[in-house]
Amino acid sequence: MREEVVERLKKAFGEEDATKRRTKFYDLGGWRQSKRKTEFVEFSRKLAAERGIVGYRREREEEIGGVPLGQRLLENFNITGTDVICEYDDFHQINNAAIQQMADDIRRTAILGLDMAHMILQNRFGVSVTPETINRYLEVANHAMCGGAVAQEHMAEVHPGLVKDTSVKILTGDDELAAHIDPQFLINLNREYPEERAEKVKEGIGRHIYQVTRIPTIAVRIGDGGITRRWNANQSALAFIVAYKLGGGSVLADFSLTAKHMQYVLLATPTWPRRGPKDNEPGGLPYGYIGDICQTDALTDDPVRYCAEASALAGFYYISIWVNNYVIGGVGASAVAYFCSDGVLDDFYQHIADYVKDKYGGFAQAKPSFDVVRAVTEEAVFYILEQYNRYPLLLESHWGGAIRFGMLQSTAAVGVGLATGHSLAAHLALHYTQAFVGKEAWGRAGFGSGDSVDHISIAYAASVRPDEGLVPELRGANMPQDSTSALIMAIEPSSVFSAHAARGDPWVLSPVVKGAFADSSLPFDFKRIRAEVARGALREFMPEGERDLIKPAR
Amino acid sequence: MEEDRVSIYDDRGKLLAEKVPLSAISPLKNVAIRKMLYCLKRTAIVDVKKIEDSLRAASVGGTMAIGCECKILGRELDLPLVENIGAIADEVKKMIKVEEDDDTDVKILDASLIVQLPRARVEMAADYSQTYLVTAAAVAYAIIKIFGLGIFDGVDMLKAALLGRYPQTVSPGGAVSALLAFPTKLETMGVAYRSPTINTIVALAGKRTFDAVAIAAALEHAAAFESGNALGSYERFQLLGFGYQGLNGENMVYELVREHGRGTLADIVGAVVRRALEDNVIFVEKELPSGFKVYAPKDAALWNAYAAAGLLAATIQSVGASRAVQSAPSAMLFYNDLLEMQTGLPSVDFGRALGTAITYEWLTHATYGGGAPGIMSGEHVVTRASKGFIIPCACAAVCLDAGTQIYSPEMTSGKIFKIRKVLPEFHRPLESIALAAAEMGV
Repeated sequence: MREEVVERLKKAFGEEDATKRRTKFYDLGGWRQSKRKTEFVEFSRKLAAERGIVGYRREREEEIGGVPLGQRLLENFNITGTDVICEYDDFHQINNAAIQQMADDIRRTAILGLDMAHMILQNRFGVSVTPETINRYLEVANHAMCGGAVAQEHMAEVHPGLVKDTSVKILTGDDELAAHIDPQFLINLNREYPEERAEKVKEGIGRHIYQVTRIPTIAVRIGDGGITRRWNANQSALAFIVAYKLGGGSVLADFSLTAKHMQYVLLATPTWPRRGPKDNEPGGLPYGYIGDICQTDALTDDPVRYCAEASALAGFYYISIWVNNYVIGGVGASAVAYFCSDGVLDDFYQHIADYVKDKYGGFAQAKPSFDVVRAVTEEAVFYILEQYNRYPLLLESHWGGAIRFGMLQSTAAVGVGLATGHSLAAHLALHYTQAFVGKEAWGRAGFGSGDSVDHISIAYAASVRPDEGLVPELRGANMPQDSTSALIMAIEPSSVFSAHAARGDPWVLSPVVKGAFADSSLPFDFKRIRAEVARGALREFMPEGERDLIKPAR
Repeated sequence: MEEDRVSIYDDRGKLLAEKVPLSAISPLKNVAIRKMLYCLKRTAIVDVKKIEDSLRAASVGGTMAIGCECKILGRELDLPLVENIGAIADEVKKMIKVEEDDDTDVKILDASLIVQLPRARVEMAADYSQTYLVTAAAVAYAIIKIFGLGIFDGVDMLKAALLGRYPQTVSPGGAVSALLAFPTKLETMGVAYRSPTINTIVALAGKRTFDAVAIAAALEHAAAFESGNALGSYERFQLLGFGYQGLNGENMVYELVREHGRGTLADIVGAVVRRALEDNVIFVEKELPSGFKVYAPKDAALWNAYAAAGLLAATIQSVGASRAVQSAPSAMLFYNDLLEMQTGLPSVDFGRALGTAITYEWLTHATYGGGAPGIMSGEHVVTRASKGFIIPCACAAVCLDAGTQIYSPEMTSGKIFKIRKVLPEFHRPLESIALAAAEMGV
């Protein structure tokens, strides 16, 4: 393991020797060792006096019963790629405004193809659609999308300060058209990406015109992702009426139908009734879109760095927002912290990337096969378990089987993805890791049912039985077998984005979604996932959707 | 009490079945309707060209109805599926048939397969989702076998080409479709027969107005039986409405259109009231000092059937004149409104049809919609409230439309025009239902 990683662990645990097998870090003062928990206790005392009812009572944990916190070291974390040190409470989605904004920026994104709408204008009304009319439409649409009235009298409007994160922009692969679009209304792919990547993404999008709308953050925080499509459709239809001076009548319904269904790109599809949410919520987002939403590949050609950032995005999106906020509630599974801190996962990814390059002569050079799956998985498992064996501090840091196993699975998947450029092979590796460790190599049992999904998914992986397999790019947390695990959906995307990174593909599942999230004016910077979450941990991230303008000052 | 009887006439006013008992047109008994329903439940459409194209481009799992935003680079798969469609059909049939001589059917239509599951599978199943799922699985296995595909040869892409993102999302979205919407898309239960869109029914009928009405009415009233809405006094209510409106009972729709085709809605309202009065279905309950007559039904269910026939005639009159479907909801709205206001009688379906027409009119003309009249279906929130009496009128209207819809039957349901040719159940539905009723209706 790289020396700086070991040094980082020593620092976190206050130990001088990372290989030492005896320690005193069980005698650390309980919860008082944590600055955050101390802050929580003090704040809660004040709140109890104000509210007249007690809430958080960590200081009375002996009387309350349950687990006394802090018997182990409540270690801090360095968020990889930054110099930020934080605690795992800082990764709870409610404590971290950046994580919230990350999810909100996905949830509030509407993508609408404009080709049909323009065809309706030309065929039904005989009007010309030109760059000038498109610019006029965009001005109206930006006004309407902010809750400005355009075609209806006596409609209540919205304070612009509450929705200042709203935008309607054009995404197209047509440079000629793009050159005529008012720059404020354009997602400029030539500026967002290096030249070669920009050309590829534009080629993928083609000469089609898409409208990328960000409805206000506050709208999805009051409602949910289900409002995004409707908000966009209604306001877009109204903007068409005004911009193109349309009368009322049946054509309006055609616009609405087009905007809601016919050419609407649904980022996240609805989930099964047991899991509830409508569209644009995390359960419905396919794993492939994690790799498309993550924009680190605009900054670097290094697949390892891109994979590590994309893994962090998957962790925060699926664990913090989906599992913690939709499925469990209350306390948050802290596993996500381990996927983005102390450089550990980066070290594992780098090792397996180096192995792949050595063994197969580069990325995406190996033909997908079980031999490759087995070889790369074995290397990932041996390397990581050796680190756990050699560094008890690492074992202590990664305190649970699910975390350790997640490291193995993610690294094996990334390794096979990089080796083959084939998502299904990587997906198989992810689940084969359990078979390898559990049956072939170590004979280790599973942990708290966490291995259930692996036993099932090996059989399911390439199955064409209707409710089993699916190409990994399209899978997501709503796949019935994946939905039972608290961790697997954070790891599964690694089998997808690694394969396409290995191939040097400009996108994973959709050039349109890739381009839509290239917009660097978004509140959350999708090029720098971990750095943004670190700002959230430091409480330096400024989210949108705030209500300061309509409430008393504190 | 003697059972109600109804005579069925075709779209030229010719008698098809004389005074058949209502039970003979019940979806529970009428053989022609039962064949239609059986056909709908077991028929899948596999667009083999679409599978081939989407695999070649690696464009699978898209969410737009027009176009595809997804493209998985590196997973392109070039398989000559259309060239091998015969072999695929043979393999599919082998897999899904239960007995050697059962009624399994796999037909090749251009570059599509029309797959019909055998009766044993239909009877075994709890619902009809198998029409999508069994068909998709069979096609997948057939292609895998014919082309010798291994695990890493794109079988996962094939699955996505067939069923889209299912089961990551709640309904299939690939190259396999069926005539009934996938069960998870339905709003309330027992309404699957109401799920074909108006455009699809129009295409199934080959744009023949009275045939589209007959199909639509048969499906609407069958759904009423399945969903518990046609029990007790409602059974007679639904069947009378079906007979008079859906099957041109007593030639009423035909005669109203023939006599008032060049008139106004008010003429049809007047004619319906006059006929009901003559037939002793309604009576003048009282006359107000102003001379305004307040009418009341003697037989509310039969009055509803008369009114429903008038509703269809009014819709045909209005859309027939303009040859533009957009006026259909308004015609339905104002027919019912006039009927209530001028007579004091209940309008069609006791206000349900009027309320539905208002919503239908609003949401086919507003940004909150919706969409064009033809894209709605019976179980859609906009058009669902009247069970049986709005959709047949809407189908008639779309048949008469001269092509004014952007989302026309040809655009949204283009394949159905061809598919109906291999589905004899839908060739002359009005006549088939009438003859089946006549055979049993002594």
